[in-house]
Amino acid sequence: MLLAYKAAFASPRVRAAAIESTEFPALADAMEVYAVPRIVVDGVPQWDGSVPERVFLDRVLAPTMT
Amino acid sequence: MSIQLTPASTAASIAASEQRSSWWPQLTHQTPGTEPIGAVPTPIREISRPLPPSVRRSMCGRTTVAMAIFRPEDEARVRELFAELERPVELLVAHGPEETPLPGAARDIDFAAETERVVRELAELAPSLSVRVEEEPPGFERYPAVAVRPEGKDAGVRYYGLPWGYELGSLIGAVREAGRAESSLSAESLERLAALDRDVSIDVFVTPT
Repeated sequence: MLLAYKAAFASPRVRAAAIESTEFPALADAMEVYAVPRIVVDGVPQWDGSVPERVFLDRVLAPTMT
Repeated sequence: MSIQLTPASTAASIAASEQRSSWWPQLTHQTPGTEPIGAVPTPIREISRPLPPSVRRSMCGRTTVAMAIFRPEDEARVRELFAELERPVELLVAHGPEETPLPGAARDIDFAAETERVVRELAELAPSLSVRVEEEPPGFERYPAVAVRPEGKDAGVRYYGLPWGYELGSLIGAVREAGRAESSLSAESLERLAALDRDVSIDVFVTPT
């Protein structure tokens, strides 16, 4: 979570949100959240779990896979 | 750092059914990295006589007494962390229409009121941390929400929902990062972010525990 926030603070082009799954079940269902943390980039679910900084940026900055 | 928050109404039920000492992270003999993850705590002493509960508590009814969000030692630690803030940080609490939580979830909790309370208590721990509360401000997709704003400016950082349990730690981490004059990311990461030629939106789905 913190990496996403750090990226958002560091770049005006990045925004980051933490979403509490149990409070927003419809959205969590739509994003097929079965494990947390689940990372969704530009509305597309990407992966579950924490990763190191370099890997995080590799995945987040890669052209969005649709 | 691990700071847990249990909302007041839930905490009351937990306190009623468990010993106070068992609902915070437990101190064990383990030293991280030197013992297997599955190592169990070594009992300090054995209790061979029956122990009656010290206070009789009713399981019926809910208490409305607001509990402090931190234990005194955690509060001191958070104060220390916040003392390092190099610039002012504003926490904007956004209220608005809420989604209905899952059946079985803690529906007796007033998420908006709890969120505001947590944020206000957090802000009391640092002079450079301020709170603003608004009704459906622009730039929010759902409610309740908290925006962490370095020097009162929107950085696109949101927390949607009540920041409790381990997620309170994320919010504290966000405040610390917002309070830094320079990013804590590596120079390489910052270069890559600076080269970004499109907008990126990251949503991280979390649960409180």
